Amino acid sequence: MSIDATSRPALDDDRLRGLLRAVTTRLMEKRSAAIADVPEWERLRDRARAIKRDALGSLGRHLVEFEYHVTASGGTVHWAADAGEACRVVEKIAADNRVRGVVKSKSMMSEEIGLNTFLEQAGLKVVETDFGEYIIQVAGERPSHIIAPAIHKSRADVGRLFTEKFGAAYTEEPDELAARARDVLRDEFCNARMGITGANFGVAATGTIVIVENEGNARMCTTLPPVHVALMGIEKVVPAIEDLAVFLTLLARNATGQAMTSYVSFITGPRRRGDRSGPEQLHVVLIDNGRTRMLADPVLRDVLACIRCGACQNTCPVYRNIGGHSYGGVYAGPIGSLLGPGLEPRTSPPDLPFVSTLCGACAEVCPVKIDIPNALLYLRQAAMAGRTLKRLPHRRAQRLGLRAWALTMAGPRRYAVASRALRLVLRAFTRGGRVPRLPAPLDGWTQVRDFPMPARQMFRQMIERGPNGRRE
Amino acid sequence: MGEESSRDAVLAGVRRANAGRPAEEGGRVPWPPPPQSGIALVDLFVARAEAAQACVLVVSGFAEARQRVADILAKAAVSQTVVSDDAWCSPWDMSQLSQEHRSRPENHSRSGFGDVIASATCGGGSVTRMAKASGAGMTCAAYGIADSGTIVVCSGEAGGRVESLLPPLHLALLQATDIVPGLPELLAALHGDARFEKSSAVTFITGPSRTADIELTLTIGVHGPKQLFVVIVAQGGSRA
Amino acid sequence: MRVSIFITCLVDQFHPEVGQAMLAVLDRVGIGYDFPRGQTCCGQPAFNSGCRAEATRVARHFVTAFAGSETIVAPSGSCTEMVKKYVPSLFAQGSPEREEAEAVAGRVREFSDFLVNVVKVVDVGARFPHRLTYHDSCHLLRGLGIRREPRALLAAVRDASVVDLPASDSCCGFGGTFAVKYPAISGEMGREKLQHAMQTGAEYLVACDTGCLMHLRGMIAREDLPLRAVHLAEVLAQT
Repeated sequence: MSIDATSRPALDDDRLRGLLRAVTTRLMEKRSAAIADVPEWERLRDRARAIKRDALGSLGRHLVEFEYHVTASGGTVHWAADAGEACRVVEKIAADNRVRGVVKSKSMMSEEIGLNTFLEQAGLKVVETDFGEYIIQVAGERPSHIIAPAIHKSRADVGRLFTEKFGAAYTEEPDELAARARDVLRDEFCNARMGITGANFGVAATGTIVIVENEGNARMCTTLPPVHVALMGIEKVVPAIEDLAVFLTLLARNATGQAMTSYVSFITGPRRRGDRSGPEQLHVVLIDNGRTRMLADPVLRDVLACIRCGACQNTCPVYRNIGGHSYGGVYAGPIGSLLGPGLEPRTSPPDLPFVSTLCGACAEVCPVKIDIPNALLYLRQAAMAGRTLKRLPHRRAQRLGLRAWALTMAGPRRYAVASRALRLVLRAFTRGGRVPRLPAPLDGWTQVRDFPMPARQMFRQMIERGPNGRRE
Repeated sequence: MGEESSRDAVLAGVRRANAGRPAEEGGRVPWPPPPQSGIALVDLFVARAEAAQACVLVVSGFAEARQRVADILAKAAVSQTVVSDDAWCSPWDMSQLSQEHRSRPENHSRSGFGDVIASATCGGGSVTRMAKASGAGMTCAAYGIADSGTIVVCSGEAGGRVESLLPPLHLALLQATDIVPGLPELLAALHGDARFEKSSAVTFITGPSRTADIELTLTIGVHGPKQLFVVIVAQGGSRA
Repeated sequence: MRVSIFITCLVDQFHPEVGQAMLAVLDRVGIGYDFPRGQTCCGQPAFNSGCRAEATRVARHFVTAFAGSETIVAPSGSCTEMVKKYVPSLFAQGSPEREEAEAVAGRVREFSDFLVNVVKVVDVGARFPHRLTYHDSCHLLRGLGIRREPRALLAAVRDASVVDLPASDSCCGFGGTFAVKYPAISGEMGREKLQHAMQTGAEYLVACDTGCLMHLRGMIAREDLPLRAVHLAEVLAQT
């Protein structure tokens, strides 16, 4: 099913669209205000891009170094080639430690590998502790935005949900709803034997994982339970601790307009001897799941630089209208249109790279300067050449059509003949000075707008005859 | 597939992907110098921390710091405060806090706040329990970052991890001389700092905890502390 | 000075009046022109659809058609960007075709850019006593960096009142074949653009790209909106 079809429900949902527009507009305004404080912003973007490129270019070495230092600080590194393996690794750690309940902080990687479902099927209780993720877990839905996963739910929605779930009196005050979640989740933090988080960055030189957040739930997950498991895509490794200066300066400002999020945790190993709190075990699961395949691709490897700030989503005029669920995968918006085909080629909608006007707004805001429109064009080429895992519907017909078009356009006489034919057809479809319906395959145009009726003469005919025309 | 072979497979995949690539063009783009600002670091820190909803006090000495901390605890009627070692001992000497507070004439009848406990006195594992039951937690900050109003807590043997996380009120003690301009300076300092090497958790804290997950409406105090107080000792006078 | 007109297939076929307007302005500022009759299209529709081979075929013809031109002027940001940024890359590195393509690409200018930065004129003697607002087409703005020039030209139009368009740099939803393949999304984006335009109270929404204009005009007609969408050249041709 094309995204034209799957996005219609979202487009018909005025309320959702209103919320999405309001939220993305607000986040972009805050972003603009925050970056105004950083006159060296453009140079920082260049630097961030350079660091990521270098890191990816020597990724093998950095991963081995990272593993060494995590191990030296008392942690354990696991390697998983794919989603299934990553899930099994986590399950085994849970089984080895008699874990029955797990608390999780927000992790796109955990969504990517389908961890929650896997663990629940293995009989474990999984509790999302990020407020937005908690809301949608209770509602049984998927996140619709990378930074604000429950953005599609109004306060009334959440109020009703919590009353149903907890039975307490109805309130739709965000303060009170957050307080309710805080109370419930505090018990969960204290009782769970395992905390699962993602990792925003991994530092090779020190074996440190870096987690960025505002609520404090990641700190809870990484401090209270005796076992901490951090899921990390292999592309998240950066060489040195100093590199974080660039990324931390760019990340929060780009994502939410904050100079810094409330908490940034630099975690190196489990608790040390003599520490009075902290987990006894730290496990870092390094996950491939399609990343080495992207790394091997000359264009897609740059996409691995993504630091998941969400700014491309917020600025994308397509995303703002159709929302995250329409992208048919874990990642949405412009970066989702690249990570989907890159990481989930079997399930990502094959027309995803075409759901863009290539306007370039995303590339302007990307902190690591990923050339998203160029990568989309590249994926379009792959799709039209039949090189993708999932077939693009009507590919051959489209290709033939464009071939015929190119043939026509490459010869002025053919162009003249075809233009005359086109005008005859258009005249046949003209009603009352306009063309309200075009025949297939162009009927998509007239679904929402008229087509102009053909002018009496083409420009090239006028220039030869009109009073202003001059002969060549 | 066994884990050893997964490691091999993943690393082999990475190696293959990077094989034959030319060395990356050019060196790193150098870090741009920070814009020269005439504002004193402390003032910048205060402005940025307050913009992130932290309450900041600047005092001229450690005794005054203790006095102001006592006032904060009394005003919030905190029933129990847990204190990490570095705050308990010199130079902050929070071990003197309750005694000094009670000895002030205006506080004779009542202290206004409950027990102030050194987390060192809690047996293993029960610092967490103590922190859970406390209305306030007090820790030192190893550094302050001026351009974001951030404090850096290096938790470790001296505690600091749960004290700064579980109680609803977090008091952070910072010396003005430990405030650096920005992230590059901070990370360079941290890299060479023995406290970083010994710490399993270094936390950057900017204001209290927050969420905006419902309609982007800001709510302060979710899982982490609802209030953050930063007390700065600066040679040169008190403020706020 | 003499330029070659690259009319672009959309203007040639559907909006020749834009081309006429452009010529009228060039006349007024004393620029001579010719029209290389072999020209057809730059190849963008095939290129953006991911069909490089087909795009190359058309682009090759474009380069041939304009091989003898010194300066080429087009009333379109997207076509200009296509030629300047992408057409050369369609040919093999180091080949004579590539060199020729690069030479031609270096000589193409978008119309407003040409007037302001080559002819160095801002006042072209236009008069248009109406309220106007201007939309930044994506390829013109982000691809070519042209944002100041159309505004400068509009500001010099006598008796015109130019108001800022909110979110002027937000895509209108045309996107070439996107408008046909994803009509609902395209329509929603267009609706938002037109709502912004109507909020300004403008009578005319002005843009430099015919693709944007066909999409927006089509929606104005379908939804019967109190607004007109016109090309910059059409405004500048008014006296």
